[in-house]
Amino acid sequence: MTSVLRGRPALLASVAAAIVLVWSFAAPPAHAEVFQGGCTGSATFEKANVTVTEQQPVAEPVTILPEDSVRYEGSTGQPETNAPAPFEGGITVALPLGNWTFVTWGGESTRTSADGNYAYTLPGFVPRGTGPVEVTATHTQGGQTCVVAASFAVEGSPGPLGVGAAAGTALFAAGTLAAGMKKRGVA
Amino acid sequence: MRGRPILGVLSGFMFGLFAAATLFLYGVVPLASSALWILPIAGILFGLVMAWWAPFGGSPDTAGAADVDDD
Repeated sequence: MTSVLRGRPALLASVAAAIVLVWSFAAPPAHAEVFQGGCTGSATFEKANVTVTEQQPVAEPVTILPEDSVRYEGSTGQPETNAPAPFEGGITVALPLGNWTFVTWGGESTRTSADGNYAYTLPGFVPRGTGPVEVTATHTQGGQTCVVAASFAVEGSPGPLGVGAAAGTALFAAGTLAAGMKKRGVA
Repeated sequence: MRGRPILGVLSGFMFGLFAAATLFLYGVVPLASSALWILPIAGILFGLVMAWWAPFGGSPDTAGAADVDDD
């Protein structure tokens, strides 16, 4: 009787943990694809030879290079105003829990479109070859709010960071299994 | 518990954390995946299960002793 009761709670807890793990992998990302407003735009990564538009599906990540030059253009689809009108916006990265807004903009302008070139170089600590990162851009102007999301991944391999993470996984897996060692004096 | 619950909780949490990091770094899951915060919790549960089940080892003090006939 005792052995039966002893086995069942552990089995149930193991099954529960397995269900949680399967669900966590099967569940969709925290943010679904969104496209709101009448804005249009594109960003051409010149070295990577890839162009991202507002129609880019979030489920199809775009692979970019650690260093590149981006030719961008965008428009709210509204006519230019005679007097400066306020605008604001920002770019957000989706995290496992919540979001992180890493750039914002705002001000007043008569313009309703913009274009230019932007060169970037990712810092060395930014991991390469990882899973997709969902980026959402928001822009509000003239009573219209535009929201566009796309997924990006940096070309390359995780390098020592990935090896370290895998080694830590193995190490602490062993530690977790060691928790199953009976204490001294226990039958 | 017959096993080692503190070791189970700490190691289980770190196991889940490192496993989540490994999965993201090698492109298995996206950054926004719920697996990245669920795995550490699942690791804690796994550690507690191991500590509760304690299938390994056994105290030599309580190991089945052979019957000794005292003549």
